Amino acid sequence: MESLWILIPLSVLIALGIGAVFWWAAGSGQFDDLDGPGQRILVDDDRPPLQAVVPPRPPPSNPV
Amino acid sequence: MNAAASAILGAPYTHETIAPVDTTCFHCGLPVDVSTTFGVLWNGRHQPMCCVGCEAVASMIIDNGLDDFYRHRTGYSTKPTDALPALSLPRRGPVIADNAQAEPVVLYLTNLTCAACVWLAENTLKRAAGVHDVQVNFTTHSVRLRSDRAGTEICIDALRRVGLHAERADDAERDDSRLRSRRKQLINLGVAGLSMMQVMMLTVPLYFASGDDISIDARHLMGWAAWLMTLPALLFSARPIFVAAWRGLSVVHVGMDLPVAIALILTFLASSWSLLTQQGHLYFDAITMFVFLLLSARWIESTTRDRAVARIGRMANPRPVVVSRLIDFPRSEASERVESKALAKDEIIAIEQGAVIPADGVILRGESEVDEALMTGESKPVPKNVGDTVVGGTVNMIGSIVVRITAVGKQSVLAQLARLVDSGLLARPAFHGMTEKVARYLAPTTVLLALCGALIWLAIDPAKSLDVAVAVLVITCPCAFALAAPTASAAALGAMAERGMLVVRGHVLETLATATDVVFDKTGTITTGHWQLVDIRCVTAEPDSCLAICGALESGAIHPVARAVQRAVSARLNCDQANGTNNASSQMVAAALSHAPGAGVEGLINGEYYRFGNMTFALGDEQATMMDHAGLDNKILVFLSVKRSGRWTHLATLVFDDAVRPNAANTIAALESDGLEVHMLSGDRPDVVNTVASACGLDARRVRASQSATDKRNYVLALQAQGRRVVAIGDGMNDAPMLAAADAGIGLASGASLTRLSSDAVLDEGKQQLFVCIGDAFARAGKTLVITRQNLGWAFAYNAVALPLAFCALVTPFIAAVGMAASSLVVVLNATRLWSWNRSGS
Repeated sequence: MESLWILIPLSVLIALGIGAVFWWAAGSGQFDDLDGPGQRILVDDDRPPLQAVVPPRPPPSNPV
Repeated sequence: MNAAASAILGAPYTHETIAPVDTTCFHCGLPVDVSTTFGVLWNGRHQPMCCVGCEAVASMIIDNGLDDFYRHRTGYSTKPTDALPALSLPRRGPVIADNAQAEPVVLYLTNLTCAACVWLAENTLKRAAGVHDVQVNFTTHSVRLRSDRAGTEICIDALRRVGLHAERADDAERDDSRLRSRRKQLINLGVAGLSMMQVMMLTVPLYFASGDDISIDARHLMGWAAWLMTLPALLFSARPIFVAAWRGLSVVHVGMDLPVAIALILTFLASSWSLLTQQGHLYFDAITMFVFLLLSARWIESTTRDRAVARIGRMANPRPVVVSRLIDFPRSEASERVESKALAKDEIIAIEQGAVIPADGVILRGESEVDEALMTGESKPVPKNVGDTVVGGTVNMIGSIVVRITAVGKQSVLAQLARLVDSGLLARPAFHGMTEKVARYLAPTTVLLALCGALIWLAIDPAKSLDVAVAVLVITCPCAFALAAPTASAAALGAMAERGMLVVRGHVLETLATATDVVFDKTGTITTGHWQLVDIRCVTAEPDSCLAICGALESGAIHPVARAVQRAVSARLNCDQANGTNNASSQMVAAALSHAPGAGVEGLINGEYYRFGNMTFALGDEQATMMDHAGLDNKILVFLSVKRSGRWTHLATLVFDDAVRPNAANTIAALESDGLEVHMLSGDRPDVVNTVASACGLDARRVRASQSATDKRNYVLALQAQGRRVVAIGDGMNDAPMLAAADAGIGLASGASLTRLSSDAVLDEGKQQLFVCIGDAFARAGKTLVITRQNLGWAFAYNAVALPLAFCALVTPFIAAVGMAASSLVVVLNATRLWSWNRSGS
């Protein structure tokens, strides 16, 4: 039973620590957007851009 | 928009890949003509486009290296209708880089179709100069950034160039404070949850330990640890409850918070006393569980409502209109572009076809037709000539006009309506819900019962008297009472939002359930608000070719009749495509188009001149006497004619009608059979109003025509003076005062923004037919009241069983905790039935 004298205060301290971390995380907006990070990670930003080419418009002609 | 495309747009975030099909537009997915010349070269192949707008947007996206958008999208984009004017707008001056001037800005993205659009928005904005701290939120479709005014305009412009539609939120501070309060609520909830779990862990062993299983010292230690872990829940998380209870006390308005606060404080004090004196039970677990359950119910409720508010915020708002001011009008045509807000009285402005008239004024030059439906309820565009007055907020349909401004700001018609709205909202009777009535008796009863228990046991066994008092307090603790209403309304609001009704203010549910009268607006609410082609009566030609000719004549025009023709033509095209038939005549193009305001349009098709307009315009002196026009009263007739040997020959008559919405008649009948009185008020002419009223089966005694905004408001106030409870439903500016005065005002998503802002709930027609949604809302509100009553009844029943136990000193903390959890669970499960409830299925 003596171990309780260490374990219970320890658990209280850890719980308070977790509470503080949660406080910080929620306060700094970590839970504002729960969908975004999951989608963002799928998109690769590192590729060099391609150039679009708008083809020269052919003169209007009657379709065959 | 065809059915396939709208099905895709309607279901964002579905993970199906889109294979570029050569018959659909690469950008927007609408069908393209095979011979289209629009398109871009991307990924090694030619991607066809339906129009110059899509092409411009797509090349803007690809040129800027944002073409990953096309790789990752899971739905087509919406067709960029406003991209063209944006592209031709002049770039504004250099962007500021001064951080001090940058203020927080919130933009709502209104036409997102999939997650890739959000990515596109984020990357577009990151490249814009002078913008800081861009955060795009996937959940709320909003963008937060820091920028000054010019920078914000550039952001909106940049987004428009890649085909995304952004609206600046009216009030970034309000949005900011909403976000902060959400974070705070979440912290409170999380802390309470953590607290509850820790206390539970420490007290569960004490429930079951018998005799010497746990030493006295260890008991003491665990008790104090539980006490310590209760403090965050009580002092931090429950603070909003205490604040609300105190505020209620100071204005003598008892809500559910007061009995909750009393129960929490007394139980905590008594349990702390037990801990100090080493006698009696500890109820710290009950306290923390109570706080957690209550906060989670409220969190769910406010999340549901916040979502509705955010969706309403994303609906299109009128952006600051840029108008051309004529500097020196009669002498020169020189003009400058100014924001409509900067206009002053007696200034002269030019208004293009299709533009919103920015202020009240008098026409100096030109003639046109003006769509006043949102302002007056008049369904037909009103012809306007030199010397006629125009009202700000209406739309100039046909020609360009020059207007001298007669009123701006507080003197304008719009501002007067806004004042009526404000006064209506202020004068509205205070609403006291069912739970508040219960709460009024709950607080004194709880305390009285606990006191009784203590006094009785003082006579029997003084040592147990405090224990009994606390047990009574814990058992009567209004947990199930406090959860009864928020859980039911959260479930109902969520289900309603899914079906197209977004509730902003919580009292709407109870008001709908207890309403006695429903007041409808006509134009745009009972009717669709736009003209529909209902019939083509041909003299000599085929209906299909007549429609194709009219389509060619009216292509690009914005007049209601033109729009109706365009819709009919595209419906026919889709029909043809579905059947695999290709009608050659559907490809007609008109040349030499000339519009005659108030009369019609003339054009050259395949070498022949056609006219499409009113009788005198289209047929000249030769009237259409040979046509049978019986049964077409109050409908708009438009005549099509062709010029043959110098005379206009009648080809066909097209019949248009502002059609009554589908299901209007059955929904109104259902409401009336539920004992509600249904009224209709309209600004339109009596004959039109009566036609609609009889089509919907409305009682003529409860129908009024030619009503101004003030008339409508007074009608509602008169009903309320008779003790009726009125729900008003409308879409126009002229309905806003009526909605504000009613016990519950319901606006339409497609309606005027002033009306939306003054309403308690907004109907979104995109989800399902409007009247199905209205019927569902009333039925579901009634069901919500029933379920809330059941929940309250259950809470009473639980108390009736458990109180005698508490009085007999048979209640232990274990029984109290189980009882509280079980009774709350029953309440929550009962409430979730509202999610899946259907009127037909019940």
